[in-house]
Amino acid sequence: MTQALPAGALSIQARALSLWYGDFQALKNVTVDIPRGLITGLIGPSGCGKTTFLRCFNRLNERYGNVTTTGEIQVLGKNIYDSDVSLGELRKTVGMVFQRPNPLPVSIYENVVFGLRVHSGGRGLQRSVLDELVESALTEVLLWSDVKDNLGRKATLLTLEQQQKLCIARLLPLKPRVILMDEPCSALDAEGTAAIERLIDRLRGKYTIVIVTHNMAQARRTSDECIFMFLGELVEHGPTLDIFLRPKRKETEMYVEGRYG
Amino acid sequence: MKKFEHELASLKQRVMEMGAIAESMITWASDSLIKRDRAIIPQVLASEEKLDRFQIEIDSEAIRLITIYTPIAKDLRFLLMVVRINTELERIGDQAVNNCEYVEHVLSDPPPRLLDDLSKMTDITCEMVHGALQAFDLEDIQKAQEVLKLDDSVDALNALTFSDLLADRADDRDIIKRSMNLILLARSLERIADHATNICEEVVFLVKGEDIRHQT
Repeated sequence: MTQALPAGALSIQARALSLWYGDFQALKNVTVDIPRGLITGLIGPSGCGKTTFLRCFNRLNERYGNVTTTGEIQVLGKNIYDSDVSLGELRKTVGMVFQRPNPLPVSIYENVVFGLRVHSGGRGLQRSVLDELVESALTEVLLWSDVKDNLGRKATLLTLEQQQKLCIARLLPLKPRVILMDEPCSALDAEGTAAIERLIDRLRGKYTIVIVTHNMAQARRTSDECIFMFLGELVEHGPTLDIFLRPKRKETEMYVEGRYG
Repeated sequence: MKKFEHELASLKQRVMEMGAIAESMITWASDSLIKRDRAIIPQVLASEEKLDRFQIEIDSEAIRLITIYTPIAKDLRFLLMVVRINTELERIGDQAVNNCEYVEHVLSDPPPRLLDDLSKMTDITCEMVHGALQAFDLEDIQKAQEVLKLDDSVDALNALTFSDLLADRADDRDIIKRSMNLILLARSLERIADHATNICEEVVFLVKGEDIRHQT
């Protein structure tokens, strides 16, 4: 089990970050400090750049060919755009969960150990060690009791809620420090959403979590801090209570009041 | 929503703790008069600071819960009620502090003649505050209604105390001063009973969603 992280430290620091898809500027000079061990919500209307911003933290945007980025992002003090940064290592440290659960079409067990097998470079890992890691990861995401007798079952046969929990569980053996979540509940029903929110709450303090959500109620319930983005710019960042109770910027106020977006 | 429910329960617990302090403050203020013991008064004054801290903390937590969870129906009524009850309890504490001030003056003089009505008023007022907090804790409308019925007797005893003290000699400055302090004390107890009444009306609003204020 990962230890609680010290308070006050920073996990992610973006400095003057701009990003273009071809000629379209999706992020405009974004500077922000994301604290370690807390849950930070990225909110804003569709197309404001929140998912693009999230995908900067593990350099996932680079999968698209026409992306240009300027500025700097430090994760745990290291600029992730430095030439000596390995994408594989970065994505071990900064795990990601997507809108729609995307388990591999193999067993539950193999899903959890898949990352370890990839990152071990083919070196053999003892079965007993893997077993322990699988139990620990599935326990941490509150899935162990549901699946412990069916670890060989194909993961795609699980419910969507269980699949999403599994997608979080499979990050954990790699000992990530940051977990990015891109609308992790948007494919789930109300019960599934509540279960994933409980899980996110349980992970607070152990990992730095950055979550993109369209669901304002979810942002309020789950996050410690919120970042409001609009048209590619960071408009306001602060404790969630402040953002929703006493926002400093008019644009934030109008958005959280539901006047637009 | 288990977390929300847990947070609501914690907030209720804080209100009950605040209520217990307010209740003790009234009792101590009365004891200081009955036992003619000034040493009790500092306890009341120290508790006022605690009560003030509770008020700010409870208000801020209620606002946080309203902001974070956008509650509706009973949860919303509960949080609105907590904010109002919080104010009532803080005012009860203020009245207890006022009572100590009046008692201080009365204790400087020889013991006053026996004032049965004031003594009864004290007992009923304490009973009302205790009952109001119980009604809140148990969300018990019947208990709230019982407390509401007691308010008339406190009002009547206040009027009796007033007329009784007016009958004292009007040419003796010391007696006038003492009577004034006792009248103010009775008036303060009557105000405390009103605050207890308000809490009970809030309990009815919580449970039934019905606003019974200003109906009599």
